[in-house]
Amino acid sequence: MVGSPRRRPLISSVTVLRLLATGVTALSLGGMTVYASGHLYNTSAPLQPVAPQAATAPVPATVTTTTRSGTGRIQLSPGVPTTTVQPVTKTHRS
Amino acid sequence: MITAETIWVIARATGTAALVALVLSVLSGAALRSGALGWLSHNRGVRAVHDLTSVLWIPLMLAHIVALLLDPYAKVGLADLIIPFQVPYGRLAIGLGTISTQLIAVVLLTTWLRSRRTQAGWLAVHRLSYVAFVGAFAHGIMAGTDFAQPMLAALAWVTAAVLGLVAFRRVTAARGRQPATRSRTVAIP
Repeated sequence: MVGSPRRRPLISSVTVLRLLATGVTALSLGGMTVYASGHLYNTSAPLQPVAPQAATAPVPATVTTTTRSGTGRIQLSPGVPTTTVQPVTKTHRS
Repeated sequence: MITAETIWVIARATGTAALVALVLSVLSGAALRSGALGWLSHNRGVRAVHDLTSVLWIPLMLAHIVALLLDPYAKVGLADLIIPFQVPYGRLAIGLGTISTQLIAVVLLTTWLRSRRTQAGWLAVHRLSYVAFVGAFAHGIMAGTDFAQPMLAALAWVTAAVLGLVAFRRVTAARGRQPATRSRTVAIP
């Protein structure tokens, strides 16, 4: 009785296999580098560490306005400067 | 000068690539006895892939660790490399990564010192790599920023399923080789 012939494997060369394994790993490294560079911040990431102090959002600076009254006294009062940032909401016009 | 963004990119890319190297290593290791990759190559080739990817994992994991140590947002300290579950956030997710890294380090060390150990002792430690892989995979899913993307998550789960099948095949193949030690009792009606 003759058994079924053993199939020849797809890749016989050990060097080719090593290159293939290195290539897959290198491709994942390169691909993820490109992907992560293009998607630095992911809001749906499972971990969201608190940003360090230096990177926290800046508190809007208040300005101190000085007004000179008729009595010669200077009155100081805090104020908020006008922003140069474009508004993110729109007012509907009918 | 390396910016915080560059460090963050390195941490993410090396983490994923280290997991890929680990997948290839565990996959080829599990396929060695079961012959699950017999269609791809002979046992010597699969063994070569197993050995190479185990070594490839080392620089990738070292780069991942160093990048996270330098990253001001990650807040991972040197002590966290030794004692898991100490990070102020994501304790389980990051702790699993620490434990799996330590386990793989032990597995690699015992493999290099294999000549000084008994085969049974070495095998017992080497089987910890399955536990380490589960930990590393869970770490990737629970802490990995990029695995939040559905495409990458799907790819990771499919890979894990394939690996699970190969590991299952290895277990069943090993059981099939064991001689029957218990006699079978057949009930006669």
